[in-house]
Amino acid sequence: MTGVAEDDADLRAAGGAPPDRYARVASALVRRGLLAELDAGTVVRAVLDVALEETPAALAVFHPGRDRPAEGFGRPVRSELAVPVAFDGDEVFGALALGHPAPEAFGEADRLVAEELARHAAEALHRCRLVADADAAARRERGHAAAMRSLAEAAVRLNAPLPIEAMLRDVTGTARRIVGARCAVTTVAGEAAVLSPASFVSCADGPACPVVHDAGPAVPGVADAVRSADRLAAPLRSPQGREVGLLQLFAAEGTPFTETDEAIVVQLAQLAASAIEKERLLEAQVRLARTLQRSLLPERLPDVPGVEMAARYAPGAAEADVGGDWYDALTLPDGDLFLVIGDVVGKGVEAAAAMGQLRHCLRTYAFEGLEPAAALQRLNVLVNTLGGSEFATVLAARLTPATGLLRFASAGHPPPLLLPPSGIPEYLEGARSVPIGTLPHPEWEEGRRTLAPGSALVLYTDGLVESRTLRLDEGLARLAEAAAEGGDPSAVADRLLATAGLEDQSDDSAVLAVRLTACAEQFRLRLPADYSSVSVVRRHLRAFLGACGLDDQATDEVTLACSEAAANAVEHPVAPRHHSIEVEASVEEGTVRVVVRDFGRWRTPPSASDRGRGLALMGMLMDVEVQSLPSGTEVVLRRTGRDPAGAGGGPGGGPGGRS
Amino acid sequence: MEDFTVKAEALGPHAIVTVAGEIDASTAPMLRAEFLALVDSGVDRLVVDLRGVTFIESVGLGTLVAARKRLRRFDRSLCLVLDDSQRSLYRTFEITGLTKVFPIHPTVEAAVEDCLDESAA
Repeated sequence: MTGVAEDDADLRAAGGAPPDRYARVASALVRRGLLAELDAGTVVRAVLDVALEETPAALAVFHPGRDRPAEGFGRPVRSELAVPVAFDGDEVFGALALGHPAPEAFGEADRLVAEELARHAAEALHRCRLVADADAAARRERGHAAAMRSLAEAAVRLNAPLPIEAMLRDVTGTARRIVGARCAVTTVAGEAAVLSPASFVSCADGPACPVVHDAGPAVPGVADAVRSADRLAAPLRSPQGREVGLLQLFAAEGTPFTETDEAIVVQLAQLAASAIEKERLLEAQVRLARTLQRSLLPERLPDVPGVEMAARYAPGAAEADVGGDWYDALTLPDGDLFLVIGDVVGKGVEAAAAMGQLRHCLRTYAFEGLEPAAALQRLNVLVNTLGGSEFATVLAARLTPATGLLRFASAGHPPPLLLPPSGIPEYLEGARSVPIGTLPHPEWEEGRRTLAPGSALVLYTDGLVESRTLRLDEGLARLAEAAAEGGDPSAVADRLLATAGLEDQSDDSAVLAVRLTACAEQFRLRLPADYSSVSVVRRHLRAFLGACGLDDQATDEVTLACSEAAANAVEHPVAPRHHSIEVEASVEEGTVRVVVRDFGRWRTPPSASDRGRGLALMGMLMDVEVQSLPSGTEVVLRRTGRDPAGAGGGPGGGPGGRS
Repeated sequence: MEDFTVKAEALGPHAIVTVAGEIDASTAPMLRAEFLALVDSGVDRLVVDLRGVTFIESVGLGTLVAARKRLRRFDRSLCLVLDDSQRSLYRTFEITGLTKVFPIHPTVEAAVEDCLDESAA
């Protein structure tokens, strides 16, 4: 660097830098590709190189961010020249500082060259900034659009009915992907069995995310989102202000969270909280409806001699589809059985509640003695009078077990299915009016059919025969086919539900199967040795004999004889081994055989007391044989197909005959 | 099963006893007590309305027979009312020969009238 001082003097004398020095600066910068350079760091390095080449400077430093150098050169200098690097005077990039160990090293021309250099640097840096800003804006724009699209898609997904767990998993993964976090963790608090305390984790590193353990408590009471460079937390808070849980994100290396990330995560958390709250309410409602539905169905079916019964109810497969299907069976004071199956149109709690009302009304009418058609008529009047919006199909039937007489009426309900003991299933058409709540005064008629012993009757709701994928006629054919396989009512009911393929069935289904006991089965009763047992014997025996096809008179007479024998068995034994009586009965080819057994020895030979009269009465009605056994006393009663009481009192000899 | 009930209504010299349900060893004592009370109170004629009765067995028949005997001892009478539809019950009376013992009428009015005639005779 010799001869510089002389040059200085020349330049100082010229009052400016010679144009060739400016040109050398410009060409040196061009050589270093400054005009095309878009990286600020490269620009600065090039400018410093050129400064050292084209000025006497021994040291060149760029101080970014300020128009004056902040500190020295790191070693002592005696000459210093600093010029601001600023574009258009107001866009300051920094200061270019030149230093030299010797004093007075820089002249005025050097200052001008340095300023020229700084001007070029400022232009280049300005260009770099413009390009960088444009890039950043474009990147932001693209990133924002993608984030918004992801948010919108998440909103659509969350709006559909989804199990809460699936929602939480979705939200967790979506949040992580949108903001490019390493891990996302959603923790939820347990809420009345709907949500169990749980964490949902999504990690770029895979499932073994190390930060999960640091996720903290489920609901920390975070009022608002919290953001630091590496952690972002937003509460899942429902629109009603209930805190459901917390969404936390952990940043990936080198990409700290931004304000935009926070805004997006907060929105996603709100979306998730609303969706979860909505789903939670829906689930609670479904559960309520199901509970209500179950509580309104009979707890157990009545125990009626000569009849076997089974009922099933299956809620719809879809979560929200709890309907108003119901069945009912009750014993009337005269021993008849009143059977009901119905379907209130509608879903959820309201349908279940309406079903409960209709069911209880029908029970009341049945107890009042109304026949099925009259009961339905009354129900229809009630629904229409109350102006309720109920609309229901109902089938009501009254079955006399002893005779098999079935009376039924239908309010728009699918026909009951009759299964004869042998033969083809048959739908009992007819006696069908419009559904309850349709017309103020429709015509009601009664259907009648006598069921042979061993016959079964199947009442069902349309869920068993109709669905989105099954036409009604196909469904009816399939039901009949499945029912024809026979079995006891429980087996039939189970099979019908299974055949209906309820897994893809949105509607609920109910089925009530009733079978008249077939005669082939033997009748056997064991009861406490108590007078009140005698009427129980009569009731069961009457049903059994009726089912076995005995006519009314024969049934009456055998029942009377057995009642006498049972009363004897209660009264006579002295110190019986145990206090019970047994009755066995069978009917074979019209011959009735009944054994009444007690477990003690009889007091005295029955004489002309009331009981003696009883024995005599038995003898008039049936062949009687009294056997004294070590175990106790057996009375065997027999009656052939002929009437042993003689023809004297035919049905014609009624009480009216006396004049 | 219907509940067993006995209801007595005294109308001057005669009384009407209305029975419903099944008359057997467990219910007959109630009927017997009612008859005893009425006979002791001095009624002349007893009309027993059995139209609500669905079943009767020997103890029940015995109760009716005992009441009749007691009344006959004082020259009083006992009539029964049975409906046309109660063939089974009538048959029980018939088999045991009691249709020859008890006057049986289809209505309470007819029974009251007949009882009056009978005791007047």
